[in-house]
Amino acid sequence: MWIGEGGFRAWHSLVHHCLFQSNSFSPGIMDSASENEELGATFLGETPHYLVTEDTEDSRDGEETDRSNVVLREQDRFLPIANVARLMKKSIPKTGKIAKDARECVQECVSEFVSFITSEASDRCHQEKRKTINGEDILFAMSSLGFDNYVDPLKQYLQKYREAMKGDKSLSMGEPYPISISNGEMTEEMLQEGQAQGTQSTSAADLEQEGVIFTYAPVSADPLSNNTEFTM
Amino acid sequence: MPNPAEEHSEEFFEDSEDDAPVKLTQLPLARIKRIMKTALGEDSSVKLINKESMFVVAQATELFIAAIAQETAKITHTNKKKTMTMQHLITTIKESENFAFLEGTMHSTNGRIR
Repeated sequence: MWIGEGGFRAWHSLVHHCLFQSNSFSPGIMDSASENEELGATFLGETPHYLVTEDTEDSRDGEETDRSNVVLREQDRFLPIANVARLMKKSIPKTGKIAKDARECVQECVSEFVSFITSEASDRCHQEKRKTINGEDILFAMSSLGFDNYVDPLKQYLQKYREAMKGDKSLSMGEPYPISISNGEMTEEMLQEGQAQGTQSTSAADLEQEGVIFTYAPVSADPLSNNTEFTM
Repeated sequence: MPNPAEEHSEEFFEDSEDDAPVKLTQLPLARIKRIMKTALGEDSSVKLINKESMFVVAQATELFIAAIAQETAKITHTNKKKTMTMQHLITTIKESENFAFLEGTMHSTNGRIR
């Protein structure tokens, strides 16, 4: 199916429009009439279920229809364009500009990158008969895929992260999640996952590995300092 | 291949000197997780992603964006343009071995944008 002038996004919102307002289809949405004629005829004549199925030749979308006949929204497939654009801008001269299509392209490349790394990491897990991907797997994948110049800085970040998660001396008392993670909902999800996984794990180390966060009662540097004086 | 990690890492570690909570990543972890899960597929025997790995992927992604932007900016400059275009990106991807895995994406991107 040929994607017309408005591109995928326009097609997508058209589908959305038609799904929920099938009787009030407005020809005004169509951009170039000739290319979309076929599309228009179908919308007017066919049953709604045609609209739900991703019928493009885009090979990436094939994997989405396999999962269920539901179109994965762009927000599920990509990272937010604003974040991507912001990160790009940091790396180019201040006076530089980035065209919209270039931003969108990098947004897609990013998802591709994440998938690429994840698949490689997953292969290794599978070989070692493990069910959970951990940080080391990602590092290993980065190295095998030619990104070994990233590995050292990533190891440093990982160490900082682990220190932060363990509850450092700089943290306040009694707070279970002292470090703010940019997406709050993540914490709960991961906890649940960690708990689910927890039934299979036996040791505390395993549990932490699987994402359960432990809190530590704040201990002063010298464990004896609060006790009464020793007398000799 | 330039190392974008150096400049990037300075910023990261700078923040952590403060007493204020450290913002660990610029990217939403839930979204990263979703993309990772999609990549795994429903039938995979590997089903779970631990929190650490999401964090590492988020950081790696930031490095990746920095790298591809930096490389492409050079091409934009060479072409004496102020605005980075998709064409410049395509050139970067063709010329850099690291980004070779993206060549397939370029074809489908054409379908999306055009």
